[in-house]
Amino acid sequence: MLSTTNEIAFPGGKQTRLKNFAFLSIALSFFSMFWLSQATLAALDIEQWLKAGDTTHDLIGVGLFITFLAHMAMLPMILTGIRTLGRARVLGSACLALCAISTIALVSDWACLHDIVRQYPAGLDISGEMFVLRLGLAATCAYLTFQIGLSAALVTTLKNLKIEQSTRPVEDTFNAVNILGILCAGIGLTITVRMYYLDLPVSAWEWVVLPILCVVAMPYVVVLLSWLREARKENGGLLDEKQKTDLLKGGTTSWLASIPITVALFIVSYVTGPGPVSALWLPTYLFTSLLVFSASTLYFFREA
Amino acid sequence: MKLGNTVRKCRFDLDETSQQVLADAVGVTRQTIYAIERGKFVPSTLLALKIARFFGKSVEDIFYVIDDE
Repeated sequence: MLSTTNEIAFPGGKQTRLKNFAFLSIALSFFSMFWLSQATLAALDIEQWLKAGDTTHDLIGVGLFITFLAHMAMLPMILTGIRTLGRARVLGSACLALCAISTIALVSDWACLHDIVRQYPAGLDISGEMFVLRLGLAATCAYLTFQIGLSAALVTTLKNLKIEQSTRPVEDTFNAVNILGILCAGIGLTITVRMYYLDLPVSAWEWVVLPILCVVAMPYVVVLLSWLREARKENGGLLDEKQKTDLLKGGTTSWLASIPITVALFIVSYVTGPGPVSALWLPTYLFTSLLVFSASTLYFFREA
Repeated sequence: MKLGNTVRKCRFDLDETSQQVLADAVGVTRQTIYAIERGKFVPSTLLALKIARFFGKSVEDIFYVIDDE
């Protein structure tokens, strides 16, 4: 764990950014662990996995890609940690090295899975690919475990540092929350739209699709909750009157946009009957609303 | 009717005070001051009073009504 000395002081803005990165990093790490557990199960039971068909292959491919994105999202947190906290330099540098190794491992995992899917049905030997695959997964799991520890340590350290508290509305946090909302909603919508084209069995919606989409929304929810908690501590002082007005305008815009979306989903569901739409209407609605809300709020805030 | 203001002029008259300094003094973001100066955002009575007090003037000296033609 990192030192919890009270000797270091730095501005509230930097503290907020570091905290946001730490929370985002923890959320994405859990998401990656979830995906890697699926990939590990697939690697352990390769024959069953290969029989599962293209849908499962696609899901694991999407998972590896999102884990890669998670690695990229963690980088700013690690770099900020290295720059800001002297005692974190050794741990942060080690984490940075592990991040690089893990990113290479992820790419090699993806390449191995690609080869296995093609070679195994043809009766070719895949023992080499399997060895590299398991090695890669082990490297990534080790990195993610370390990353969760580092993130938790950073949060603990920040809580105990002598920090210059900001009592005025923070523009950066407002922007960051809305940008994160746009990113989460964009990723969620992309995955949801992709799901429409996958031929998944009905049971898969419950144990695969909805948990995945919940995890995609998690970074936004975590940052939003921590921001609201800070705002409550300051008796709402973290938002000024224009930001409150912009949130109201954004809310109204997303409510108005949700009406045609809901009607369209209802019509499609009614016409096509039981199918992907009847299972995916909720994430489609939620992610579209979040996208419109975050984008419009940010637009109203910046439009002057 | 629209609300006009001389906030930008007052800032320059007061040692070219920056938007951020004014924003910090009255407890809002720099973006809000920018929007007020551009006439895109109408401040509350409380915020208008705070801005006037910062410049040592009355609210009417800074904010005025622009009648429609």
